[in-house]
Amino acid sequence: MSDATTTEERGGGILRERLSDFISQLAAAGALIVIFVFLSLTSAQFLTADNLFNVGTQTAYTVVIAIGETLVIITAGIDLSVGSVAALSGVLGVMTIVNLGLPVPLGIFGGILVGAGAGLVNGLLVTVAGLNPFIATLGMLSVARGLVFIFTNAQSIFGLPNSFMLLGQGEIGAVPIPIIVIIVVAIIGYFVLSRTRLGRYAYAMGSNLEASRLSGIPTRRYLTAVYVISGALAGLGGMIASSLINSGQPNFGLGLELDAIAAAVIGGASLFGGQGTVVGTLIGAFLIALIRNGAVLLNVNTFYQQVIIGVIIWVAVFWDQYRRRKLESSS
Amino acid sequence: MNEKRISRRDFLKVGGTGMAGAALLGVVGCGAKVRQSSSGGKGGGSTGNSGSLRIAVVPKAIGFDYWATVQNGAKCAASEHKNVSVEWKGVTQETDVNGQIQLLQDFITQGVDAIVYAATDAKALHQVSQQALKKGIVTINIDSGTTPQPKQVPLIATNNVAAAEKATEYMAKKLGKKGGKVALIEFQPGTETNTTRVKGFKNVMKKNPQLKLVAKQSSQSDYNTALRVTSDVLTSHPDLSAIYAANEPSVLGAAAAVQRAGKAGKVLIVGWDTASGEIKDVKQGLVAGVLAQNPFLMGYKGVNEAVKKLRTGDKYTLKSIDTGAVLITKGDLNQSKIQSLLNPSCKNPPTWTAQQ
Amino acid sequence: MSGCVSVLQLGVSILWEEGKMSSHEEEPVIRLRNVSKEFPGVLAVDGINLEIMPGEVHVFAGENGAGKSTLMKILSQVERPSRGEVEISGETVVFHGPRHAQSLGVAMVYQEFALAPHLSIAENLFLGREPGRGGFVNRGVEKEKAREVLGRVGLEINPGRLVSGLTVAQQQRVEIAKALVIQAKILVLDEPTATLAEKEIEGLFDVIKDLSAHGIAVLYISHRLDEIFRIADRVTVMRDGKVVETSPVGELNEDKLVRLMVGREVENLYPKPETEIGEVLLRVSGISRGKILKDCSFEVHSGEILGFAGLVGAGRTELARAVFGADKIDAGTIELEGKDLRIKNPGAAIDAGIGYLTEDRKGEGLALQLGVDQNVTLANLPSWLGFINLKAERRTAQRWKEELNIRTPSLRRRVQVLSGGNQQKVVVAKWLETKAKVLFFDEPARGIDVGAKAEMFSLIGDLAEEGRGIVLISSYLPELLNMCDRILVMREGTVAGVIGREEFSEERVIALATGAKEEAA
Repeated sequence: MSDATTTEERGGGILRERLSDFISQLAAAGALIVIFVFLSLTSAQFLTADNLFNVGTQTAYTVVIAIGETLVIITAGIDLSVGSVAALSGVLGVMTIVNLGLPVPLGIFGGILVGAGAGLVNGLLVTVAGLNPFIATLGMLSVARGLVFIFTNAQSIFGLPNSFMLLGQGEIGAVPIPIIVIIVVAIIGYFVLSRTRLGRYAYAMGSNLEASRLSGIPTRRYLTAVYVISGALAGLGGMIASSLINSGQPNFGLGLELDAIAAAVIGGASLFGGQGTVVGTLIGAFLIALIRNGAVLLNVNTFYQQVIIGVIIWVAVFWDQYRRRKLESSS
Repeated sequence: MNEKRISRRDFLKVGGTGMAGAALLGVVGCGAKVRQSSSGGKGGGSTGNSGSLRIAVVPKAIGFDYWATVQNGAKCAASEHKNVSVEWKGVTQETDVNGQIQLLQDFITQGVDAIVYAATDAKALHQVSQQALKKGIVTINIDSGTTPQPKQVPLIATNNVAAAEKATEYMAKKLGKKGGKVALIEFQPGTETNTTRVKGFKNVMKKNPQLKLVAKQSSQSDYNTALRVTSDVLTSHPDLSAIYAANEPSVLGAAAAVQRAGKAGKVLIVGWDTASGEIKDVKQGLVAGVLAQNPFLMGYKGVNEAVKKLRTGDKYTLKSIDTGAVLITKGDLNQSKIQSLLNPSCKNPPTWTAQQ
Repeated sequence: MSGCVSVLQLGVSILWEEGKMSSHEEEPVIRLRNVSKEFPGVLAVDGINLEIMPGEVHVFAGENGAGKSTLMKILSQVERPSRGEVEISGETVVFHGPRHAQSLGVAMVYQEFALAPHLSIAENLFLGREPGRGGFVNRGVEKEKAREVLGRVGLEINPGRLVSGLTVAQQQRVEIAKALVIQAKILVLDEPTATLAEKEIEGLFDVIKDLSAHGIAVLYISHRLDEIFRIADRVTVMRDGKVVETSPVGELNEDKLVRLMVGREVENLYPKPETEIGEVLLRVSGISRGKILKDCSFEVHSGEILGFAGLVGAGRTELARAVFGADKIDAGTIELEGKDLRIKNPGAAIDAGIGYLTEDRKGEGLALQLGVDQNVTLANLPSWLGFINLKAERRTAQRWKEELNIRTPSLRRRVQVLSGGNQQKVVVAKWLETKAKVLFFDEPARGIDVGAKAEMFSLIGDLAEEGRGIVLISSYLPELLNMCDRILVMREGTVAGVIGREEFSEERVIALATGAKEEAA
């Protein structure tokens, strides 16, 4: 149908494509570097181990959740429920420790399991009930938050043993554990996306679900698995957040899904599916974190942070679409 | 449980905006109704006319401890009069303004004798008060009033500005002549409660030039966010002297950040509300003082005033009442007065906080 | 057709008269002078000089990438020419975008229709030019006018119906009717027959002839040699952005046309191998699915090419999909090499040794954003415990690249940017990698150019020679008649009949497909 000359005849196309891929990551990474340098110059406290570790620690749950969100977005889906699911996992995990007296590691595992369960429901709603992912997870956003209030009666849960604080506040050597969690989850995420069937099929399903199904991929099973993983990572995120403050907060995670989506999108994930990387999402999440950190350090009005983050989303997505259009028209 | 009794309301109001979760709560609790009839309690009904009275008490939302305490106060007041029944009914979410309007209009149609309610939205509820007054229903606002506030409708609530001033003055006194750097952690800029609590704080800051406001951040009523922004503020101002935190998550987050930074006791924290976590922080000396409101008294006085007006008639003029807020510090915790405020009961209602 | 036209003509006479008045036979309606379009790194259109006369059907032929579409986009002002001058109705065009082109009387019907499916036909026709006053739409007038215009394009249908409920052919007519609404003098049709069945094509050609008789110049992009000779007044062949030749259709024949398009001799478009036909590979019995398939049975032998013929909607694709497990069936059995198969999903069919190349390559065949290598291995990913063996994947892809001569500078190249023919080869590679014994090719030649077509059919022949069973689904009879050993004809969800090669004739197939008596056909 397209009547333009194919690029291979002209050569150089592949180079341009590679370069453009690289530049899109570079655009976000470039922004990250610019902000990093800017803050180093303008704030005496920015470039200190304490502050950087602090930023890493505070943003850990967002990063973990954003990686799960990236996986979903790659399949051309979306998970709007991660914030609520993180809260549900957080309070239920904490409650199993406080009220049922479960050992801390089991409680944390329980929280992750709750998230995975919510993800399973999301996945089944999408694959079996055939709901649009937006609708399925919008429902879960509401249901999970409601369950949080039902279980907690809208009360914060206190009374955790100090050992629970390890996950969010502990250190190994000088490195805070949440940062180690980020590294571990990111490495696993990277391998899953680039080296496993699940990752490959996620890209394939996001690029063309019907072609994937007709290629014999059990799309329902894999799609469901993707939502389960997203839910489980939301659960882990919820437990990290609870550990950071050593309590279960029913109000945790309101709007967190937007941070997660923003991180993925700034990092080059396309809401139309088939695109997105862990590295990109890491860059996106830290870009947001640095903007927030810098805004406080420089005492910029809170409202401006939101404006800046919104503008960065625009620019990132515009850039992404621009280069894609360019790629298509040159092909 | 009792310890957790607290003002969740202001932060739930905020939370509610994102809280589609109430869809489910709605199924469980919407329109839930507890009819409490207590004719012939302890007696003591004031004057002659003792025909039976129906008083509707409508909180901003039901299902939260703060409002349960208001309910206890209302119930307590009703039990002190003869033939007074309280109808307690509310929506499940503080943002459900339309739901509350409908509920109140139902009561107006039913022709209850008095309506005692907390307005979920100052402007939207004004017309409802007018409708009630037109039908001759005694109308009283508790906790939150309307804009404008009709002359005949008294407001029985915490004077947030005065309370905030009290806490900030305490902070100024503690910091002494030397003063120092102060940070403000608010929770939801733009809301009435947030605005008044910040206003009182700023009033006192202005009078004390030795106090310097170096940072103003919002916690979005989220503990984790409060922790993050306070950590960043402490990074940026290692010599910070004090923090004024305007609600529960803000106080908790600020306290956690200060502790995390190894500055426990070095940074003076004053704030609002009395969640169990906050009380614990006060005990440990991490937080210098928290402001406790008196929701019990709001319900108690609300019903009491309504009954007085109904049974006395025109001779009685309704007046607004500041139910007061008490700054609780470490030394006060064991006082029985403070305990009666934190765990109010009908036997010993904490009426002492009210300032006429 | 002509009978109803004259009746309807009364209704649209006003519209129509204008069209006639502008048709001065001598003056060209379009004049291109040295028009070029340069994209970064490529000259898509290279110094074109051309005149189009009112009322002529002018076919643009050429392989993919020859520059036909770009030239049409210049006419409809989607693309701004880099150099040269475009004159429409004697006036030099200043580039202002597609809407301006429409105001000059240029209407374009793309392969993908620009219709709003949830609006009615009438609403679509007048979208943006609704009759009525001050923001109010006069629905009565809109409907009345719509009825008139639809009559002109041979679509007698309630204009209140939603577009989403129309067939592809009907939607195309609505697109053409839109051209009448803007009183177009020039109508551009981009491969309009690609998705039509034979009968619908005839109807379309009647409409085109009628439009040209009324002075509208029809510019027609096509790949199909047969229809060029049926519809064209003049033909322009393009290659590498240049016009190779423009001549009246009478001065051309099929061989010459192919030579001009490809730039070399193509010996045989349909290289049918003489293969030994062996045992029954696939036996399908009694497949039924709702009202779409009714008790369909057939068998495919090893080394055999079995054709599926029939009108659009007769159930050819549906039957293939049913065997492949893509749709659920209500009844029927499938046997491969004598073994009963339980095919619940495509995965089971692939495991058993059945492959299906979809007719909609981009929509159902390829993950466009993935690389060549990733598409080739999509149906048979070399992996262990869920981990992909990236080296094996690369080797596999490299092997197919060489074997099928997939022209791509890199295996990691996104298939999105490959030409149609090369994309098709990637799909073929994917299926061959599954070691399929029976392969369904659903319209394999659609949207690929003449050279690639010959290559594709030669490949299909080779696969049969290797002893595979091939099912070839096509709406273009010459493909089936030349390539197949037997042709199965479907009609309304049933198998209407099977014809052996020695009895092949176009008439027989059409008779079975339409249910007409052979004499009548």
